[in-house]
Amino acid sequence: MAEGVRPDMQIAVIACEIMKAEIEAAKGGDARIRTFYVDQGLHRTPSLMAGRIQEIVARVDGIVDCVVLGYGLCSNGIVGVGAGLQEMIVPRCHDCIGFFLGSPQAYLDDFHSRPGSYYLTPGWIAERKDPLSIIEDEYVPRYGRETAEWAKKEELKHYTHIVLVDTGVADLAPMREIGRRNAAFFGMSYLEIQGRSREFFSRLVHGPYPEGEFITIPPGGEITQALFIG
Amino acid sequence: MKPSGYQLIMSAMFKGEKGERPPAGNPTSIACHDLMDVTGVSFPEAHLNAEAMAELALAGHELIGFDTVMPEYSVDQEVAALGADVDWGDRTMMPDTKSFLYADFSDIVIPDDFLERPSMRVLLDALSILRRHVGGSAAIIGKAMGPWTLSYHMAGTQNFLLQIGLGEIDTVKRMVEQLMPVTIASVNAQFRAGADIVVVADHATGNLISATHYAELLLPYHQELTSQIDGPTILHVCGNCFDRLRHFAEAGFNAYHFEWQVDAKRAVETVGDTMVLVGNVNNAQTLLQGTPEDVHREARYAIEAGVDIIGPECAIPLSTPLENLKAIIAAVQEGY
Amino acid sequence: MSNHLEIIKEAIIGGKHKDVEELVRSALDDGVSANAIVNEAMIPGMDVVGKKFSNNEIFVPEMLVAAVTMNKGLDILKPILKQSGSKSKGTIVMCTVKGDLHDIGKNLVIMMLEGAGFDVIDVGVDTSVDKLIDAVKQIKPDVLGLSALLTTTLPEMAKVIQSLEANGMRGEVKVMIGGAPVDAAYSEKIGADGYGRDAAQAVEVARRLIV
Repeated sequence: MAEGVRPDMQIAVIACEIMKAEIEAAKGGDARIRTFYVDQGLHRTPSLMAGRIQEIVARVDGIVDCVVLGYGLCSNGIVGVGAGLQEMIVPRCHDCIGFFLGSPQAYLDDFHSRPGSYYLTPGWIAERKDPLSIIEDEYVPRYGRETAEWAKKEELKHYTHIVLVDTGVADLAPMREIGRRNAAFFGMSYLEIQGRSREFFSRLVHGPYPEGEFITIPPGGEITQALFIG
Repeated sequence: MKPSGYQLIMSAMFKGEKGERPPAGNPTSIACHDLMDVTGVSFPEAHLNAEAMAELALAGHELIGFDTVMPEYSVDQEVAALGADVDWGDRTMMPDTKSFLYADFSDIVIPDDFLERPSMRVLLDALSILRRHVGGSAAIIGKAMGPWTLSYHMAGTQNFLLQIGLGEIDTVKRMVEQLMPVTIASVNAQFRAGADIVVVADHATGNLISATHYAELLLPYHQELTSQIDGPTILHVCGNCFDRLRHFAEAGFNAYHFEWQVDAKRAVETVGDTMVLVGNVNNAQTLLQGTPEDVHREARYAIEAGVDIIGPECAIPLSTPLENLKAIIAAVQEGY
Repeated sequence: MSNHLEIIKEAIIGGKHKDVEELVRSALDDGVSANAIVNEAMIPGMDVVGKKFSNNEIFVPEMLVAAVTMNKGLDILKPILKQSGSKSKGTIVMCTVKGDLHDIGKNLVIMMLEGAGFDVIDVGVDTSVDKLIDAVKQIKPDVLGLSALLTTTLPEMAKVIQSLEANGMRGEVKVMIGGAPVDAAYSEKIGADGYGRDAAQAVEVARRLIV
């Protein structure tokens, strides 16, 4: 599959909802590509993730020529997913933040240069998964304001930066406002970066799939943790 | 009627009638990565957020089959409420106290609203949540730090132990005494919040201080403590404590949760008539690195020795495989 | 002279932290060399302390006081040792491994090694494998010392050695390990170069590894 998608191929992209905007932008009007999105809340319960993905694989099994997963290893959440009758392509990436920065290596580089980064992307902000929104939506109703704010502040003590990754799919101004508000509340610095996500998502949807960046699971094969390590 | 896990544990706690099998429980944490993945609750969230704490605690009961639930995974809830700066760690790293507020051994100030501080409130709320979910079916265990362990966090362990070495006995005793109200308040609040049992962790371990020092510096305080506590307690002290087992029995705790260094048979022979014993499957060699067969063998050894409640010796390593935890349950299900 | 050394050794063992400075000065006045005080009184004294600790005759408080006592003596001796131009016996990087925050044992070992004339760089507690690899690259120590108290963090020691191998650096540095859950069998199993039962033995191991 290293050569990528042939003109006559039917592709199913199964991805986390969080990257829907980026994938749809990359897909454009290409009718050969079908997209399926899975609720991002599953990243909290990785043990349920493989089952949900497998259900979708079953729906397209034998109908498409190739399945592409828009997931990182995600705390082993995708381990055990079977390719079915066709090849399956998986980005060689532990954490999907690498997608938004443009490559796994870009993520590692960014991580090493600034280890305390809390990343926000358009998808995360749209889902109200920035720390302040989590406080409001999930913590305050259950624990009251004081405990809610305390818990999140304690949880994020090590973070030094709120990093907004501009993937070019949404209006920057409201996201910037949310990013800045988070940074101010938690006493972090605010930073914007432009990853090379457009290129990454284009490769994800259209190939090519070079071995360094993507793993190709043969028909009948299954995702294992070992594929991602070493 | 088939007795519930709660009944088996409580009966064991009071040396009552034995059921058809020994109960399985762990007064310290059984949080591990596999359970985090299943529940979607990870560290540090599970130290900071009542529902997350409760959810992770439930997993050990519902998914593995332990007869107890215990929602505190750190030793820092009280010290955070006392104002210490706590690093809550991450998925792979346990929390730790970053600053020692009383390294100079000055008088300790306990805030009036100590039990209302967020780090205490989340623990108390988690116990209440567990009560609503599994009250009567699993024994709900709370956890409080004893005055000795609190002292380590207030003064710094090395600093605190050095004072003993230097013979500054009054300094040491004063700190322990001043921290007593913290432990007593924490334990009793946990009973009121919904705990059936509270474990008091107080690390006067055999590797750190002598049995003589335990008897001189801490035993009187433990006796005072247990006289002011309103429900059944388990003492947890790590390491080889064989030389002070009898002292523990004199301290007035109902039970002692012990590690592998103390042989189960010798423990039962020494204090089994006066204290309930909980433990002592080895964590590092057996639960973490061994096979389910190894775990089964050790759990059966403890059962046959007469240990009352069977479980891991201490908070389990985070990467402990689930099959090994399940092997403890398989061993108790074979009965006595 | 041997009398001075014997008295200082006993002072270390007994944790006579108030007397030790006086004893060291008096020994120096009588012409006993600083080197002899360290190597023939202090380290053998700590060796006895370590053995007593292993036998449960003494516990951490007593060991800490012995260490404080040695430190007070060393404060007097260090400037003299430096002046006499005695060369470093080698460089050692010390740490407590990832996930472990216990530093009492590590601190004791560092003090003993420094006393014995090694340059020691302490990279702290909860040290990740990556950080250690960086430290070895930059500092190029003769020995890397790994400490752990928790049985749960023992596997980290094996990871460090594997990572040194993976980075092609295993030949460049000797690895010695220690801590309550460590024993000779574990040391052999993970391919460490040496294991010290206690702080005093760590000095012997370091001497053996740096020839």
